[in-house]
Amino acid sequence: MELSLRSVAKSYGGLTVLDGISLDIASGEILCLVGPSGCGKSTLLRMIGGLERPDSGAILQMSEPPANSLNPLTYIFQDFALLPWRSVHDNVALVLENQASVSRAEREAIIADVLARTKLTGFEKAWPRQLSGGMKQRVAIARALAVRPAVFLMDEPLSALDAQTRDLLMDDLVQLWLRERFTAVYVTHNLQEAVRLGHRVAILSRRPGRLRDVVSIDTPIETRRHDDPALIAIQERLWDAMREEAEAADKELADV
Amino acid sequence: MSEQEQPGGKPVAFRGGGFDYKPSKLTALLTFAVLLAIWEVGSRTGFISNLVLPAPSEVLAAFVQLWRSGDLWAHLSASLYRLVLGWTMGTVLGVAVGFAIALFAPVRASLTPLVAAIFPVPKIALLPLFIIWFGIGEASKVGLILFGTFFPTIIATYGGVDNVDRSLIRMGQSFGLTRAQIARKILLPGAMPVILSGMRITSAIAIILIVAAELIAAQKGIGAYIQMAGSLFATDQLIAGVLVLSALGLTVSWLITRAERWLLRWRG
Repeated sequence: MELSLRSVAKSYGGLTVLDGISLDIASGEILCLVGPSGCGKSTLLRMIGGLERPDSGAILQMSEPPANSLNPLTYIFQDFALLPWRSVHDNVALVLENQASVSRAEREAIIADVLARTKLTGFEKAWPRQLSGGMKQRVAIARALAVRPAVFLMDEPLSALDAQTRDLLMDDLVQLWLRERFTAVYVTHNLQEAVRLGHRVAILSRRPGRLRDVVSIDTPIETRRHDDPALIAIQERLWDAMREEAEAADKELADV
Repeated sequence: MSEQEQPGGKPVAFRGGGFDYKPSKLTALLTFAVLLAIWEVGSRTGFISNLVLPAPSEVLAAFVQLWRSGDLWAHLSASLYRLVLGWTMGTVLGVAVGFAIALFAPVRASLTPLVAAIFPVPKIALLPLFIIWFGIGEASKVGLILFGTFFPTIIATYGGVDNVDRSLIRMGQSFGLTRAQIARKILLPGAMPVILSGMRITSAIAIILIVAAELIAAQKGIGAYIQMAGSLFATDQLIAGVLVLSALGLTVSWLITRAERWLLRWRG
């Protein structure tokens, strides 16, 4: 499913957070949104998924989502957002229980399938508190897969994890994309993630958040390596574009 | 203290520890036994006047008498009936109103000042009014407990719902859950720890209220039994009644602990 953002703007109490954001997201593309903290990238993602309304401009679905998609725009959150009182199995079940079109038997089949795809078979009965950060995020990915999304909206999905787990999960996401060819908007402040996973990387400036640059990365995702000089060069370029903004963000008091 | 000297240096001095808590059931039992023994000896030797405090053995005899005569059950069942009925209704209504306050802004705006105004009133002060309204029978006592548990439950419930992680609500919305589903599957279980600790408090309030009400106006009930014993200077019976109350309180608290273990088993 393609999405189109047309001069989207948002402000909170007189403070313009986002201004004039226009972007097209193609089907099967991973678009990374990077920017310094406070640039409004998470706000933009919430608007794309319909959790917040833009003040002006429009966010358009350019085609109908596939008929079998239960929840076309599906989030993966930084803090996982698992219900601590539900087991792994029941956390996935939660998002299918409200689907009238999914019978009980179908529901169980979907849960078994998505847990197998995220290597969680055997952990159905575990409570979230018993899982490592990486496993929690895999449960959240399984939950997202269960509703067969047309577009994944990922809000810093790896930022709460340690570096090793992040690398492993990044590989998992690459494998998943190769199989499913999903569309995704991937918000991160980690440029390494952006150049590893993004077909295009959009850089936002801060206060007001404007689209500063969009960089295409032509290397196919499956052949990307940490030490690829072309990717390192792109990462350098992104960092140069972000550096001043990041420095300014660092000097600012939170929540003024 | 003499740590082995290693060649080339001495071990770093240990300065941690010392604040660990080691549970000891034996010490608790021993304290209890020693206190009882001192009390018994004090009463027997006449050091403690029998009119002020009867010996533990006399209290035990009074309790056995209460048990054998069947009066224990008559008084206890009267108190339990009022407690269970009043507490259950107060809790159910309190949770319902607390949820309404948490979910609907107009309800919150209109009810929270009212709740804040009534909450600090010692509810026992309303017993005379309740007797005028509902008569001297059961209704006034059940009503008093209902009223006394209702307001703390409201406050615990909407406080608990307000404290549920907002990101979980956003998650529910993002997967297309309806408002009712979010309330039932996310807010209610999320508020459950706070609601349960509210129940612990309201159960104590309910016991205080029922005893106070029975002291003032009742034929049957543990409070009435204590009141009768007091007016007859039967301190042995009086203390036996107090012990029944202690057992009642411990039982209720044990039941709530069991409920917490089961309902909050996800917390580990």
